[in-house]
Amino acid sequence: MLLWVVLSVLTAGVVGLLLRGYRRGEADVAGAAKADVAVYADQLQQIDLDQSRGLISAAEAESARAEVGRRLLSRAAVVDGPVSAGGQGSSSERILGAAAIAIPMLALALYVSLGSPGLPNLPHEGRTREDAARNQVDAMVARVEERLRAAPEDGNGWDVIAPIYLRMERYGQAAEAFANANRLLGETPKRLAGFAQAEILANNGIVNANAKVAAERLLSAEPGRVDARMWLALANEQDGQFDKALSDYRGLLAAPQMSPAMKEAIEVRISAVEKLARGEAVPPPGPRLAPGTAPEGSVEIPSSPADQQAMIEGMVARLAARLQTDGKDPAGWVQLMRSYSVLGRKDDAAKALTDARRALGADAAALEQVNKAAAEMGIEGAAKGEDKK
Amino acid sequence: MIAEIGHFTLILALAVAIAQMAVPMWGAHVRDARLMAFGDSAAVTQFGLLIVSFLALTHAFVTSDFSVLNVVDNSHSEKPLIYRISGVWGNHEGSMLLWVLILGLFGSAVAVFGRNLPATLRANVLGVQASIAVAFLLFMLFTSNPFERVDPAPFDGRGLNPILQDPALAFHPPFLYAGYVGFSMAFSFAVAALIEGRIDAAWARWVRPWTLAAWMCLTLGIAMGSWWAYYELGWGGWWFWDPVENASFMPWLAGTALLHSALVMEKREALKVWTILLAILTFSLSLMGAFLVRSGVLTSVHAFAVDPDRGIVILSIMMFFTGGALALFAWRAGALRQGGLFAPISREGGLVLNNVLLSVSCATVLVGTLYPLALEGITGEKISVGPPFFNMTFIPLMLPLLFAMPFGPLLAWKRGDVRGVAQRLAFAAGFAVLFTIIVAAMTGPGPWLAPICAALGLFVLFGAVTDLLSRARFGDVSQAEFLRRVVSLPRSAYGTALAHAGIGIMVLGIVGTSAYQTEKIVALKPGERAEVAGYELLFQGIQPTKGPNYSEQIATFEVTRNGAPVTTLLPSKRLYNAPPQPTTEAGIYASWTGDLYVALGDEQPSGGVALRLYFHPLVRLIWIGAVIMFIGGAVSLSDRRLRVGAPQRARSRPSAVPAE
Repeated sequence: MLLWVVLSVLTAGVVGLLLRGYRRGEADVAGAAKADVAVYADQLQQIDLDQSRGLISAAEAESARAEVGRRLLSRAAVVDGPVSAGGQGSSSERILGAAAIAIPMLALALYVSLGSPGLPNLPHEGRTREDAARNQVDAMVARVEERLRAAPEDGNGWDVIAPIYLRMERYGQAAEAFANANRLLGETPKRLAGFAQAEILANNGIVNANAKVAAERLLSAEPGRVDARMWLALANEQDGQFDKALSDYRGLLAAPQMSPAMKEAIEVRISAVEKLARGEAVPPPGPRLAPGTAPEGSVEIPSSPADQQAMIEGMVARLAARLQTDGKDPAGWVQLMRSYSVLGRKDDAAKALTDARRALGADAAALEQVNKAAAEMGIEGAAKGEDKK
Repeated sequence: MIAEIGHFTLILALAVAIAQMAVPMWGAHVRDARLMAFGDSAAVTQFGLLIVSFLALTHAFVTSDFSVLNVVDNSHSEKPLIYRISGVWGNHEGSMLLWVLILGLFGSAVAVFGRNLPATLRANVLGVQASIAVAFLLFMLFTSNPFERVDPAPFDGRGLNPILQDPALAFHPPFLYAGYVGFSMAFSFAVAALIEGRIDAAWARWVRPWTLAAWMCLTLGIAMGSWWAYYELGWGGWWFWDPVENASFMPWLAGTALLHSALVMEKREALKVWTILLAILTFSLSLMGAFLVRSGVLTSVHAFAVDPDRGIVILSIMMFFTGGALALFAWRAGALRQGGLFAPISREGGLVLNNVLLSVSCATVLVGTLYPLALEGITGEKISVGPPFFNMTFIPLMLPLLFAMPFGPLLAWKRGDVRGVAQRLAFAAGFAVLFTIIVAAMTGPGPWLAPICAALGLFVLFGAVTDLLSRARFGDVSQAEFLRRVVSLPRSAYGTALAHAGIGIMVLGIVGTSAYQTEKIVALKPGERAEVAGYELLFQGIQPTKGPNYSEQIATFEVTRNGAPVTTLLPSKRLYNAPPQPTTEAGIYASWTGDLYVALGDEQPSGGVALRLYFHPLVRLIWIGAVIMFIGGAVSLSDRRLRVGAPQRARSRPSAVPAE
């Protein structure tokens, strides 16, 4: 509202200035002839001055005077048309009136279509005050970090800062801090859970060996903990041990203290794992692939495509590593080939097929399953039993 | 709210400019005093609105209001205050706002100081000036609006290109634009005169102060850009014949020619057609500069807007104004009466020679700048027209110009006595040659052209002194009378002499640094030494430090000469936080004979640091010369007649050699 008041006053002022200005200007009309004559008179004066200074000779001065004089005469011969002062009710009055109306109208029309009258000023300084709370946390973190640099074996410092890092989404640092606190102050369920959560989030949702060990210890300290069971189920799923994962998930569904959201997430996992076990493709992970890294929450899939890509590639690498040591798993091989071909890594897919044939060499049924899936996906590996040269 | 006020005033300025374009010109056509006077109040109002708009954008930059898109794109909350302010014009949209602001400044100056102009001429000038403003305001509002908002606003901005975060660059664009835009006055006067159909000696007197003001600012603006390139880019060069530099140099050459031809027109009513044409072309070249750097045709730090669409709009604006003015010119030029006659050897003749040489050199630069662009556009082939082309074409044009320069002011109008002038200049020439021989003997062999150019530079410098002395009739009158005359010489005479002396000094700097520069590239480890041009540099090591918005690696060099300590040089490399981009800060020691210049290169695998060491003899004279030229222009502008109000005039009062 204030803006519109200011703009109205401004516009009124501008129109006033324009109209007032032209009234004042009336008296001051330099006729063209008058102005020209003034210049030539000055030139004549200058010639006199130059001559008196001795800069030009009398003869030169004379011829210059004659030239300027001719200019004066020829200028006088040109008759300028009369200049009207533009009296009352004349056409000039109408033109000026039209301009005084058209200028604000045009400005208003353009501003309404181009401007953003609703947006306030947003100076940076005011906004930092808004974020004062955040700044306090930053300052506190900085203080603790400094202390820890001086005394890296201060378990209490690590214990304080670890959950803050976790909340600030600095997962790698959080995992390290929890690990240090566990080492220096002894393991507690809270620290183990924090470590596992941070470690999983730092690895884009992959439950790695460290996280798995922490989850197992947590479960033995507090049997029945839902978050720990969830992470272990996830670890089994990511390892390609779909049967174990399925029974874990089903067990979780039956557990008490499960929120509806958790149950729903687990059901999504179950149907996904069932498909994976059959060697079918699973649609790209939704935003909540890994349900509940904590009982009350759930892991968000990284929002950036690059992070998602990294997460997927991490899972694939884990599966490949497991199959290298334990190759008697036709469903796992099929999933690996499928992952590679989805990722566009054709050579790796072909290599996976070759490796699968070698690993499953004795098991005709399993070999058949892998070959069939490979044919569907259009993957051609080296012939059975033939090593890569 | 303040950003919105700025946006609204910009729009209101457009509405006022449209009225200013139409009403006074109609008034001049029907000879109505009130309608013509509307132009004055509109010009002043328009300028006032643009000031408000500009201040509003500055406010957004200073307070880091990241709800304004332009601030987000070009500023950062960590940036020091001065660069938050200079960031206003360190980008495409903001610099366009500065452009129209200066356009408005010149328009309102005509309204305020142009009371001596005939009412119809003033009305037409303001109308034409407003039409240029309308074109650029429309361009801004619809393709490059500096007041575009973002909601929700990001928390911080993307920062200003670090190599623009520099004091010289803070002031380079305002002066440059004052130059470019100032030439729009000459253009508006030319078009207004063509519309009226009357072009005479008085017109030339009225247009000259505006041209002079623009020329001064452009001179200083170009010099600042060159000074910046010298110490910031880390190559020790001061001019690269880069298309962007050429874009500013071409209007300067044409504007310098215009300044001189207007002198002939005022005094003798000769060269009318040519002067009008130059006025049109000078401004067209300014517009072309704007087109080149904003269209994406060039890649450079100046290429703010790499957006072909915007480029096409600017090209259309340029075509419209140039084409329209030239069409008007073709229609009216035949009606222009021939002015005074003159002999080839005369002041007029000298000024014609000046114009021919300046225009041809301007055309040379134009070809060298546009040919590679055109070739790439048509065939896709990339060629580089570099310094060799310009050195081979431009320098041969400048040599006769420099040689003739001292003669010009000493020649009489109509018919000059070249022998008499030569006698007067004999001392200057003798001094120049003697001086050159002495210096050449001391410095040893260099390029053969260098002593010749140095002698020409000295000749120009001493010639300017000779001009003043002979005006005061040195040797003809008693000492007391001579002093009285020196004091009472018109300021315009001093202006001419200063500007010419500035050229001479600049030439000396150019010759010194181009022909006698020493360059060394070495890799040093801490504790090692290097030697360049008699200076010993001891590399003491590199220290990391932090600036307000960058981290910096500062190298320390103890400089000695013949064992005596000279100075400590601290060249550095900076890495800015936002955007993360490195810059080089050269370490420079300025002595009377030249600059010792050290630039840091990359670290070497061996553990040392690559260094470029230069000694640039006399390099500072280049910029000192430009500043003297600027001062010369200012002295001329302050000449009595400008303040008297009635007929204004600017440069040297034409005065002939005493016939003895």
